[in-house]
Amino acid sequence: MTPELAGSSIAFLLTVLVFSYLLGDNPLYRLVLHVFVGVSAGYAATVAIQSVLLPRLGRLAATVPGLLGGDPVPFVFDLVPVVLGVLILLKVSPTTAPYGNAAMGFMVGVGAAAAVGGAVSGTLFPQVRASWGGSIANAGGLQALEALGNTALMLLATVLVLMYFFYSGQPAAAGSGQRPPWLEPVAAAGQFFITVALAALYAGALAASLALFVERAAFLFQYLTIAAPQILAALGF
Amino acid sequence: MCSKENPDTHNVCQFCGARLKPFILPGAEAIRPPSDRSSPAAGPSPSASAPAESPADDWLTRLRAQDENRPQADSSRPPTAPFAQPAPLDTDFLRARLGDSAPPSAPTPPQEAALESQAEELPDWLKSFRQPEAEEPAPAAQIPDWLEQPQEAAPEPQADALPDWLQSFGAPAASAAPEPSTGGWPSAPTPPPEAAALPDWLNTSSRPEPAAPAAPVESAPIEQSDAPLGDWLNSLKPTGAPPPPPPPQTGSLTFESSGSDMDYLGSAGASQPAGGASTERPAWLAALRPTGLDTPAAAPAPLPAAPFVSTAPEQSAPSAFFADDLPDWLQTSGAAMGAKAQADRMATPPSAASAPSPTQPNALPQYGSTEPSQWLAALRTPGLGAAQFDHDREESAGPLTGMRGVLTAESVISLVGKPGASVVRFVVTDQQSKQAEVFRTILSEETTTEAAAARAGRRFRFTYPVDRLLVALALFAVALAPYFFPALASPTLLPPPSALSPALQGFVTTLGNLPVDKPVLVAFEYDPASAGELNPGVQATLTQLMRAGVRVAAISTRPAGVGVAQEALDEAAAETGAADRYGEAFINLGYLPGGIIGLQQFAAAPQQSILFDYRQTGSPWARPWLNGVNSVRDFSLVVVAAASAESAQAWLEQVQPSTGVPLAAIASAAAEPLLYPYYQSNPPQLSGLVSGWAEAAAYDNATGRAALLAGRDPALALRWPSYALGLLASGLIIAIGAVVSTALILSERRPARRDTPLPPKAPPVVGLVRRGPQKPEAASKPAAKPKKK
Repeated sequence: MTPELAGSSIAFLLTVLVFSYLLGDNPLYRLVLHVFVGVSAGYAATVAIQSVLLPRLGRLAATVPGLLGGDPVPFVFDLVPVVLGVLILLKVSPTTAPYGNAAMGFMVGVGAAAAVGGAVSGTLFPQVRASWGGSIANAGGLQALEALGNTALMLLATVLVLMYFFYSGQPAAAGSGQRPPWLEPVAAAGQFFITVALAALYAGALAASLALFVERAAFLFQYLTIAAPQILAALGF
Repeated sequence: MCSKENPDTHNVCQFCGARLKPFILPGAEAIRPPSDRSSPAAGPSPSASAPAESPADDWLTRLRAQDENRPQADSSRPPTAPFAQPAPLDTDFLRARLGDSAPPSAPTPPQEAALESQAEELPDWLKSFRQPEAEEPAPAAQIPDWLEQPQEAAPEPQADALPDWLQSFGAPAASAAPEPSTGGWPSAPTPPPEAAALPDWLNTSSRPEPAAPAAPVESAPIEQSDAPLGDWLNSLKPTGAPPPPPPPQTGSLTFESSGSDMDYLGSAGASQPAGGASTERPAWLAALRPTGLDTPAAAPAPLPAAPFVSTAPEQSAPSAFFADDLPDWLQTSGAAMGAKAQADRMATPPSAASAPSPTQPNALPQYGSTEPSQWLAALRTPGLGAAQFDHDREESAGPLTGMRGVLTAESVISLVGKPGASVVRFVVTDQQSKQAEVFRTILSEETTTEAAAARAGRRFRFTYPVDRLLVALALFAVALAPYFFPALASPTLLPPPSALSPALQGFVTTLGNLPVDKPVLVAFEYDPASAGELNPGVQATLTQLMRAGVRVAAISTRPAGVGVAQEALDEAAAETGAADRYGEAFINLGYLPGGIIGLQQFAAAPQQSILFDYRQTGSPWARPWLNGVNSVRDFSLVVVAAASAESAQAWLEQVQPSTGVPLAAIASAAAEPLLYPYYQSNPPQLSGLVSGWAEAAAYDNATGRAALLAGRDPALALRWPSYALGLLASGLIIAIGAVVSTALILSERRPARRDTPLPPKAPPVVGLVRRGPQKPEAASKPAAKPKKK
């Protein structure tokens, strides 16, 4: 049996065990899940050690001669990430976890700042600019009219959806809130656009899942029609 | 009285302010008890110079002389130890007054001798106090605690140390001598001023002694005391035995003659041997006892028809003395004599009643005034006159049913007025009635055996979700149908996607216009789980790039994406014949740590972020075609293959704005709705977008690779019809499910609509309502709002 056939057999077995969930939650399905989680963690750790830790420790070691030679700057720059990494590693033990708070806080703070800054410059401003009809100015004729219609529809949908989430209202008899009467149709229209958006997301998720299912079904079929006879033949059957 | 020790020189207690030395008028020494004069601590006795000694009280003079001749054992005691030894003589006179004949505890022989000598010289009336002591010693326990305490705590018989209230016992005793020349005391019949301030029970103990000389009337009260006794009390007297010997000449006789509030003591003493503790009810209390409760054998009188109704006409005569001073119900009492004494005590001021007079019993009619006392009239209930009381009224309800002369009970119930609230019914809304019915049904089902059997059968029912298994089997069948039925893979039946969307067209255009001298960065932001959907598009892209001679550098912010990238590169390199050109035509930069922070750092300084490639062949930046890459903008294009929109947005937000490098995306179909606006923005943040397996196939077909649709690989050639049939089957299943679900909902709502409760009437009122013109329904309706005009 070649390694490819062995690998295909393992893949086939694991795929069948995953599909056993159709009969309900069972230990085999949970076994496969644990295998996947364990393999993913092990693989991620291996990649991190191989691609991150070892190269950076090697570069830190490479700066030691410079440190000894009177150039400590490279060493210090490379030492800071190592020190922060060691401090975060202390979070493993509850007794030493407080020592890693500073490094964790530094990482979280920088990450939050980067996320906010990137969202503002990469999503909010460009999308707002696009909503103001920038495409209309660049278009002409019917395209401009189409762009105007798209922009107007997008603006209307945005406003209606925002109005749908206007939860303030007067208390009703049953204890729930009741929107003002003029807001009811607006909220209904906003709910319509929300439904359309969720339907699009669901359709995309269904298409992606179906693509994966088709790929696995094709694999099973090919294994049973191609690989399995070879294995049986190799085993003497 | 704090009973604390004070210096001898103090007349008033320095702690409580009580007077320590008696306030003795000149000449009052004669009235002091002998025991007081025996105290050495008394200081210089004023009796030495007092001219109060008269021949009339020669017995007191003898006592003084005897006292002065007392052995020095008593007088020689140091004054500093008055509390070290109990002195029974101090309370001896008190015991005698209280009838306590118990001998003092361990009297000293000189004291006993003195007592004996005193006893011989005492007058008869004083001997009468001591006589019971010899006959029938009463137990010491009869002495109250409050009297025993000073007996033990104050052993020294010092007159100065005695409190005023104790001296009040001794002073009247001394004043028994009817000698006006004994001092500044008032005449004997007049009680001392201190006695008037004392409580009645103390006054009664000190008052009879001045009446002691009134011997001529000593026998009259005995006969008179029998009169007020009830029959039940008279029956207690021994009838067969000879009459008991006349009691000794006790002071009780004088009590009886007084005619005051001490009558009950006299009557009690007459009915039993003197000196014994009387356990029977006093006459005044016995008079209040209903005659019907007496023992029938001892009292053969007929039972009264009602309490408080006099059944002894002969007893009504004494009641006339105080008929107007007593309430009506007391006037009708048959035991009038005892009540008379009580009424006398209440109606007569103590000062007036304490005056002994031999003619006082005859003077009783003077109390028969028709005008009640003012203090008693003030206590009378206004409006409750005698005219309102019906003696013949017979009680018809309650525990006093059948009794006559009972006070009328006027309660709220019998008052004439507005009728009280009455319960009509509970006001329950229809909804609450329905809820109650449902609750009753539930309870009935719980108790039904059929329901229990049904639940038991339902417990073993197979509850496997068949619908899920059926859907899965249908999808499997549809997905594998092209493999079993190749006719379904006909392009005429299921035509492959040929039309390119604008986003896909932009992707094709972008990749077709890439310069060859600049590398392309491909970010693998997906795991092997999404490889089945994204790999076709990535494979087509890599193949096109490698065929075009564009060098490709792969990177991933996911550890699992590094392996996916390497596999895709290897396949594309193998397809394009560049499998052995790793590092020259393509390279895997490996894992980029740090998330979005790592992206920012990589965008600014990629050489600082990636030190080694995936295969650890050294620094990738040492490659000639990567040597000039100092920023992400040095790449001609960044292609992001992302399974989620967030992964692509990270590149769009962290790398593209800061570098301005063109970005294209190969995304999952699920991420397309969220990434498409980036393509539609102006300028477009995404140069092109390939979303899902269908567009990947279309792109593959558009590039001329035709690996997925041309049938170069039969397995891959059947992927499209399988995918297309799966989409159709999914849509059909969704439609069928929607129809069935709608039908079920309608079928469930239809019976429920019949039972739909009425619109809730807010607020429902459940409670008690009054019987009257107001309807119960109106109580549950909210108040109508006035219409606005």
